[in-house]
Amino acid sequence: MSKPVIAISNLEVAVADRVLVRDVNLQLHSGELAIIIGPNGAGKTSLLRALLGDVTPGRGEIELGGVALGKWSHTQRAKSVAALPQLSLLNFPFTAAEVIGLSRTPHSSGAAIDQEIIRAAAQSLDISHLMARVYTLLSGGEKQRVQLARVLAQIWRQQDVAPPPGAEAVRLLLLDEPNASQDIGHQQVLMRAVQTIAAQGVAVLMVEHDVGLAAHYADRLIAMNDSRIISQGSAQQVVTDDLMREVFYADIDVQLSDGRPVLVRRKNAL
Amino acid sequence: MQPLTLFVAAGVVAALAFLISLMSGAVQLSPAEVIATLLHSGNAADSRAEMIVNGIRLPRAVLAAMVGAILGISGAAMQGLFRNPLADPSLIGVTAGATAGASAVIVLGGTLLAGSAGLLLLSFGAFVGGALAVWLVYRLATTENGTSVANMLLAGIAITALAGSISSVLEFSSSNEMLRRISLWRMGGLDGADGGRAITALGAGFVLLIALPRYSKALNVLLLGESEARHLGIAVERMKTQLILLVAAGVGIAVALAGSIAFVGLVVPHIVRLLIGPDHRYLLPASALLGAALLLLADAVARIVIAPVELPVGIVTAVLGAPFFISLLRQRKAYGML
Repeated sequence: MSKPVIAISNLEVAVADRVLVRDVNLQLHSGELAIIIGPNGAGKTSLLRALLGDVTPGRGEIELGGVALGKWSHTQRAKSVAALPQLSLLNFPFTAAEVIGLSRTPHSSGAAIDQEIIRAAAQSLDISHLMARVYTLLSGGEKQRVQLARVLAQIWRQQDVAPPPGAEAVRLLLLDEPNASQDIGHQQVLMRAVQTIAAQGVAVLMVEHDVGLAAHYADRLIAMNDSRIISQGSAQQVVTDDLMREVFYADIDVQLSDGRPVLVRRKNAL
Repeated sequence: MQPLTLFVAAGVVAALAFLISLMSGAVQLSPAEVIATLLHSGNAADSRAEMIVNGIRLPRAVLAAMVGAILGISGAAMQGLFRNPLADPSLIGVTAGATAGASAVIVLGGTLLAGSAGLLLLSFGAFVGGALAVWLVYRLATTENGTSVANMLLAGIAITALAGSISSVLEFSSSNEMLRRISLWRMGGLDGADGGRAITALGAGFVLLIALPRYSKALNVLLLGESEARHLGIAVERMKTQLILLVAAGVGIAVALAGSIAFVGLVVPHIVRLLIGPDHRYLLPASALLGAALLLLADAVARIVIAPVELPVGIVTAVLGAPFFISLLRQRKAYGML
């Protein structure tokens, strides 16, 4: 098996004396779609932020492409790792096409190739018809898809990756609740786009609140609670009645359909 | 509108405004006279025009153009840096600090203020006051985790209030004549223009016009948010420090040379964004060009409207700027700026 895209060992993250992530060991491989589930405040977003270098780990190590994350320069990292935040703050009247185009800032691939990438990324997320519209006037779900297209365009091509000496040319996509404001049809469009880029060799780590959706799409599910990873593996291994009851405090019946867990609300549930 | 169209249009307007500025005043000159003087093709009969243009109006027009350009481009950069369309250079305390500095010089300077050295001293006081205020704001907003833009806004408000009360204390303890000088300085004016000031403004303007556009791609990305910009490879902290230093120095010099001139830094970038969008690659140079044109025109109006008496130019920019800004606020939804 090839070297992991990202390897986390004994990670601990603390902000203002509060430990948000502890004892995390995790490896992600190229082409893998891993989804983190867990209740609010479990440490999911903090884990992503540690991978992005936004918070400095108190303990433990993170390696990207086999080399410590700190050895990657800002630009080298930007060509390998793209992240979609939960919330976007952009309030200046760029067009949707311009927003997606910002993702090409770290690259010097030329305007023609950039335009082609922008067009393709937009098409994969069903926003081609929005390209000339002003971003600030789009709906919440449309904005989020534009932002996701931007993030995909950032790591669209393997050949744009420029790792530091000794590191492998890996690509990593971090998504924090991309489906939060999507209708059910666009959730499918979005997940298909994510699966497509994963199939091209990108490792994807995604935070998702919809456990049913996560169980359907994940190559690997990671359950977090109380700032730790409590279980990981196939959807069938992770999504159980116990997890629903003891971690989420939810009154849910887990059934199997084609080997994948399906969640059913109990009749007498609130 | 295409950026190129705007550049051509704003360039033509600025050139015309420059010409009008050289023509107008207590003695009206024809365009031919002005151009002849500028090209040194005049004969002895034109010596009066030559003295007026080269000695008085040219330095003043250069000062107006450069101060307008500095305020316009700095406003655009600040709005980008703060990701706030309502930001303007005075937000980081420059203007209030400079006013306090100038007031201190007027009240405490005494006999030193007489003559041309007085004006120099006044400019120096304003620059020191402005620089001190920005330094304080910056220190207050910077922790080991970097400079927080939100804290900077709050610190800017606090330091502006503090500088305002220092100015008030100074005014409270000053004579009627000093009060008048302070309030005239506040309104902003280009009447102190001479060769030295014009060259200072030219130097500061050129530094800003060359340095700030280098940040345009980074500013575009920064509009997405600070961590997003970092994820796109921008060294955000370094960029913030450099931008703030550049803008503080530029605006500090502008305020020291011409007093506080309202609305140019706020309104000009808005006009440009309305016309060609928020891309800083075009927004920054276009704001400089339009800022220069606006201040040149405002200064010409200030000199003509009740000639031979001059209005302080700050009044004219506010009178031109306020209605425009109000109409902008009323239609900002359609413009995509919420």
